[in-house]
Amino acid sequence: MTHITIEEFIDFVSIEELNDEAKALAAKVNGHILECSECLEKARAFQTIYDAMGKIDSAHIEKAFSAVKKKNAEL
Amino acid sequence: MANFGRHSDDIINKVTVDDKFRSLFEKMLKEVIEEDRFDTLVSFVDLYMMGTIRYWCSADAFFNHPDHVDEIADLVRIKLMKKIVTGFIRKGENGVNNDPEGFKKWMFTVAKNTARDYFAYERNISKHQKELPDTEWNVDHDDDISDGITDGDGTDGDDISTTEDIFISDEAEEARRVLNQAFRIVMEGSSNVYIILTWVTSFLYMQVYYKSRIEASRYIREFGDKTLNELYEVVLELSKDVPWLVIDDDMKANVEKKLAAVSDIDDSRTYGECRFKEFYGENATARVSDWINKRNQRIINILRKKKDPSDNENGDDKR
Repeated sequence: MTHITIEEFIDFVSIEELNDEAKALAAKVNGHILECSECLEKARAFQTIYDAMGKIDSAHIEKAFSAVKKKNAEL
Repeated sequence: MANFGRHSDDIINKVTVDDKFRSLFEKMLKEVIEEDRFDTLVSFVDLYMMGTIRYWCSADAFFNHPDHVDEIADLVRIKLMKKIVTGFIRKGENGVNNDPEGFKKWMFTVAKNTARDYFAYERNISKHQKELPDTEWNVDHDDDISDGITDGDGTDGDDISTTEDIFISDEAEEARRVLNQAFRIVMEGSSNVYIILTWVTSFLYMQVYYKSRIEASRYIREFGDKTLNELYEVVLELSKDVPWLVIDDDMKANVEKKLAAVSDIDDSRTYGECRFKEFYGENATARVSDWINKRNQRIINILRKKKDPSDNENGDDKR
């Protein structure tokens, strides 16, 4: 069984348009993870990271602003 | 949270799981499992969800526009396609989840979370633009970033939950477990160390400083003249500010082994050089930077659209 690669997972969770390419990739990944529990867990993990990266919360950004400036200066 | 309350649930409850729904559900399962197709899956949005999405959008004058309804509907279609297996079909312990009532709850949860993220995202952009009038919309800030990452199945809170407030997770520990697992997969994976470091640095930066992806992308570029080893040191430092994140010796060993291999070739190679040179040969078909760029492109498109409204007036693509 050929497992889904990290690159394919990244492309899969990054899909933002319903075009033929996206559908083909989704079909490949979904088809595989229906049968492969190892890749199913990986898919969930990649979705978790991707979704977490999308969280934008202006309140937190405001709160963290001073700390950001300080730490950036240190870098 | 405006328009996500009881009346919203009332509207959702009007969608009954009748014979037509069940028939479509069975057709959808067959398509996804046996035919690698998603036509019926995405059709659920048009058949059952548009009214609800319109209702959510109607809470705020800024979002009460067909463009926003269409945009959210598009995002829901895509999300259903991406999560139908992880979030629903394989949600249970055994076999295929063939519960149409559960599917209805799940798809509306996906839609609700998608709409909520969309509103927060658009509000954030409009705030930074300082061009749009303020409204009474209030994004729910009760769920902090770590809580908001996941609910039960680790897929952006698209777990099937009860009705009152799906968005405030009481499963933060589970979310962190899944996230730690994800980090282990990345750090112990076979990807190039450049990809691994880009990924974990971006994520840690967002976790520590509550920053967005596009800001993380800018942050990463600041390391252009630093070596990969120096970037790795930053990763270890940032990780200290995320106490629930476990980066153990095995994970470090994998990354350090890869760093040593790079150093054997050229220990002065900078992160910036890695970004732009053919350092990884032909095997690297995708990189995290590509991923971040894809995300950034959406923001750029939105900013362009808002900067030049004539694009829409001329009938150009709204995205």
